[in-house]
Amino acid sequence: MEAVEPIIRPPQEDPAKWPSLALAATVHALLIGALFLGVQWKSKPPSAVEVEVWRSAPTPIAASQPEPKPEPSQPEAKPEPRPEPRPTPKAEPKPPTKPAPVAESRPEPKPEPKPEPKPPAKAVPKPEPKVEAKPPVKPDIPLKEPPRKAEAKPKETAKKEEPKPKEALRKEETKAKEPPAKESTRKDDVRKPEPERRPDFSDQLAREQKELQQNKAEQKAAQDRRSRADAEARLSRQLQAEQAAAAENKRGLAEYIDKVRGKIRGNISLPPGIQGNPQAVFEVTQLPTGEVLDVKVRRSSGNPALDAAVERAIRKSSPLPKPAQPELFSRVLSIPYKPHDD
Amino acid sequence: MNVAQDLSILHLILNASAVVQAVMLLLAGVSFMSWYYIFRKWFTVKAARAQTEQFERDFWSGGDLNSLYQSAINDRHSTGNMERIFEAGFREFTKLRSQKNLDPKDVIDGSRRAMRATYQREMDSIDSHLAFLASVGSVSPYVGLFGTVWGIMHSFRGLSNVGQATLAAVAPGIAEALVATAIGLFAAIPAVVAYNRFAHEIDRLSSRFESFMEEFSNILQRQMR
Repeated sequence: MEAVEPIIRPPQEDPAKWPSLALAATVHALLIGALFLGVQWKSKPPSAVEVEVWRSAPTPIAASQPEPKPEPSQPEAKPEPRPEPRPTPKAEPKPPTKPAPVAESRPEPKPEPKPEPKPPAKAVPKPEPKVEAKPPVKPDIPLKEPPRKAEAKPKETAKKEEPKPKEALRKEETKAKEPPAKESTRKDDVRKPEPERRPDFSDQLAREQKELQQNKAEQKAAQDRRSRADAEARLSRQLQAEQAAAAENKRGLAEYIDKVRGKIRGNISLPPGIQGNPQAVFEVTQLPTGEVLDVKVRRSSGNPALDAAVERAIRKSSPLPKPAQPELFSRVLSIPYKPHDD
Repeated sequence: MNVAQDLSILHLILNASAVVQAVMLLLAGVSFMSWYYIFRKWFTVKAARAQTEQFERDFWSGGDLNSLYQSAINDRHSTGNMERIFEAGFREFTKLRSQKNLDPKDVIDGSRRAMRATYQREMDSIDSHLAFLASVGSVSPYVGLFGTVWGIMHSFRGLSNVGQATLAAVAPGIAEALVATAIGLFAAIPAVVAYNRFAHEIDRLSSRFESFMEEFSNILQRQMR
């Protein structure tokens, strides 16, 4: 048979092998170069954005520096309502200390005359406990009459039991009468310091309001700064929002007091002939809606017409303004009132 | 500036998780191979087209078939696909014609079978590695997507540990994950384009070869008489 001729095949070795390898390599080199350049170009704008984020990060810290300020001011602001009741206890404690020496001074003259004329111990102890027991009561009841009655009682008992030593009793009476007069003058003294103390309180208020305003300004500035901040500043924003809420509480309390006072002031018609600037303190019981349930005169201004006018004004402004924050509502309000604001 | 360095492509690739790095390495290799075959096929198809046109010009210029056959045998290394088909057919034809007792139809059939066999081999040679391009074009996006999904899973798992969800915490992970998709797409897009183009070119070449085979059979049949 014929010898089988070789099969005609396509050439096995490809002449295009090496050029195509080189071309593939160059294509990839080009790609990697483009990627490097392209990604770096693209990554620069984001890096600028992130730099802003980093820049914004310190601002919350700077903005958070005012944070501690409002916090300490909170305890300052909370006392605000307290000072109102305070004047009453502060004013009251003083009289007991002052009458106390008077009460001490009284027993002194009494034992002296009593043992001399009559030794019965019954009469002697009776006035003593009464005298001692009542003076502490006096300051609580800011009335002028009771002390006189209390002093009169021992006199009467003394008169009934001891008619003889009238002269001594008269001396006692004169001595006893004097102290109430002193007391009344002291009460006047006590009343006088109140208006003096009152401006102090308003000064405090003014100071705190100034601080509040400063805090507000700082917080506004901080908010401006914050507005630039990105998502990373959210946490600090929340913190500051909490502080702002705390600051708003303070502000809200001051605003609430001002609103109530302003409304009452608008409804008042002052009686003529007010002398000086006497302060009256009213205790107002209100419903959550702001309706006035009851008005009590905590401390009279000394002018019944003025007291009545203020009470009428409080009742007239019956739906009292409500505080911005419901937490600030209190059922019983203590409202100090002065005819003339300094 | 640190952030910019963090987002550089090299940093992203080096910081990626092992699976994503493996995917990226695989895709880089596949991309290189696909580009290599793209260029190789490009050269091959271009050469085949040029040689085919050259041979068709020579063949239809009315020259002697024996001289054409001789030249094809003499410089086999520079012959094209069509020339080799012609060579195989003419060789079989001359062999069969020398056997006196054969029907002319059988001679033509033998010659056609020989040409078809050579044609199949040529087409196989031209078609080779086109399937690879097709696979790269269709699969590498999915491979890149797998790397991306894996990287994003990884970065979100890391995010759960951070607690505070910031873009900065996720961004590097997602960026390095997306590099895998980018490489996959870079490998796939040229492969798909090249595959479609080469498939079309090869289809045209094969139809040219087939029509040449039919015409050459007719010529051989005329020579039998």
